[in-house]
Amino acid sequence: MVIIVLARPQTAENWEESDVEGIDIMLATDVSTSMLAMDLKPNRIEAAKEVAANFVNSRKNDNIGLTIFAGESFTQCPLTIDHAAVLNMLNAVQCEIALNGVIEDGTAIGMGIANGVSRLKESKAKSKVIILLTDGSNNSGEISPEAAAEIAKEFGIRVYAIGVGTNNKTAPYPYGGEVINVPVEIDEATLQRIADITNGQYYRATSKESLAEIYSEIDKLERSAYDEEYYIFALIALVTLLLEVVLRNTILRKLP
Amino acid sequence: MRFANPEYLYLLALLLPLLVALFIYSVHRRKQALKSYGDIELLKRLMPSMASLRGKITFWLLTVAVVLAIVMLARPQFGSSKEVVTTRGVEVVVALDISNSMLADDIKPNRLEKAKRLISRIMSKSKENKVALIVFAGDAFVQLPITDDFISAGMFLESISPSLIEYQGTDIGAAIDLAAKSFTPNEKIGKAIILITDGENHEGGAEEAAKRAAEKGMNVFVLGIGTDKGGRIPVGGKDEYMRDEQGYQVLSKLNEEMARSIAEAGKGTYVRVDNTNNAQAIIENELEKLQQDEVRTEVYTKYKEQFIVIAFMLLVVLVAEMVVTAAIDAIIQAKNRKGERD
Repeated sequence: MVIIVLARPQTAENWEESDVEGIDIMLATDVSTSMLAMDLKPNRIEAAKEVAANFVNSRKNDNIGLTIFAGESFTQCPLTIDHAAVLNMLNAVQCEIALNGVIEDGTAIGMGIANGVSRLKESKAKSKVIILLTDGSNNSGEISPEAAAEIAKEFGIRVYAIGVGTNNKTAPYPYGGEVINVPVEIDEATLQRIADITNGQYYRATSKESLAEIYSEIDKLERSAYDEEYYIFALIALVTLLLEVVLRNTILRKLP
Repeated sequence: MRFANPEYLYLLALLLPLLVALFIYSVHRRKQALKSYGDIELLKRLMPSMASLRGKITFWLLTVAVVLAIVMLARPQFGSSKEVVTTRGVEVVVALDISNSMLADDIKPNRLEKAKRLISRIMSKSKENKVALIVFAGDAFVQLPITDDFISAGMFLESISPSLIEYQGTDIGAAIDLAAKSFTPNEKIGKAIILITDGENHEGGAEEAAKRAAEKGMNVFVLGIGTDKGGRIPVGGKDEYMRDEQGYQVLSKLNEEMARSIAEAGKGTYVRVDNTNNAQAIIENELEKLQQDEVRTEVYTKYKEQFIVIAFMLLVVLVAEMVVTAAIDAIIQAKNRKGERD
């Protein structure tokens, strides 16, 4: 067992390097009008922005970019180390653009992923990640979410897909000065498929707090995903040793 | 020295006393067992003392092995290692004047368009550079943060127009200050600020800002765009030009003197942008010089993983244990045979 642990060193050195060099992260965020629903406080888009901003602040070495999508998708901010600029652009994200017809409303998840892929494909970072956040199902765009996920996989990009919305059947939504109830329709199956295809993860966020926990988990995953294997071997080695010591001194004693 | 997983060290505090207790117990049991064979003192002389030595060596070596295994799990890291990575390319932050006077048509098709084309060509020249775009008039803001994504940069450049900033004026000082904050934290790479302006009506403070930037190692190149004769500023539809309070058409002239002094304060070069491509060639040349002066290297210091060394020591200890016990066994065998012969 010890020999196997010794064989690990080469890979371990590399893992440490990528920790310092940083990874490239595209945040792909749904800005369709349904994101104005108030099941997350104060509403889905604002909660998402706040949690994302905290996430950006915690990733010192990473290049971060921003893609937004409703019926179409475009790059709000390319990959950059200038997190102050990212935060400014994140802050400026609003659903009003879909509301006012500046971009088409709808939910083009496939386009959102594809746009994220365009920004990431030239990247030379050791790890390339899209954090996709949406509250609905794909209903527009020329590229299906699965096709986009396959493309992402080709480029070695992992997609963490987050479905946002309460577990209740409906959510409160502001309409014409009043509050109405709109159905919660997240296509979790597709989001799970996207995560599976790209070796990412699917998460469901039903509140701002659970969303924060999800980002925190992604944060941890992208720091030390590689350390675990080495541990298993080291642990086995330790246990074997202990066994040997115990056994030698009790049952298997050699008496002349 | 630090441990990536110090929790495992608690195992030491837990296991060591247990192991020692186990050993003592085992020795005690052995003595009991031997007693059943006869008097201890007599037995000690009959059996080679090697046997008990063997027991002790085995125990201690294995204990050391356990300690090493725990330390290995705790992932010690000490000593720094320097990694030299060669990066070519420089960082260029363009600060583009988008005040209304930049719409003057003395430069074709107008000053702003010419500037955009110039920037576009400079960006496409070297794919290894990083670029950022700042636009300014009475205010300054970051249009494109520092990135190597040239495709996005092209799109963000394309969308620049005077309508991005309502607050009129030409606050070059603010633009340079903002530009200076828009580079990456990498201290070893060449950094250039390219200011493109016609210099009209600027607020002051520009030279000081350029000096500050130069002190931080950022050279400020100034591209003065416009003509001495001046140009009229088209507004609205065709053939309508901006007029002043008296109703005369406003003529915007390039303020070359000011542009030169900013370049000087910024330890960069001043280049006049006219209807030719000379300016582009000069700036590309300057950027190449910046790059060639120093082939930039990045050096990472990190805590070096030492568990490999520990793993090695562990292996040595285990092998030693096997070798030593085998040797002792052999000696015991030899003595036994000798004893038998006697």
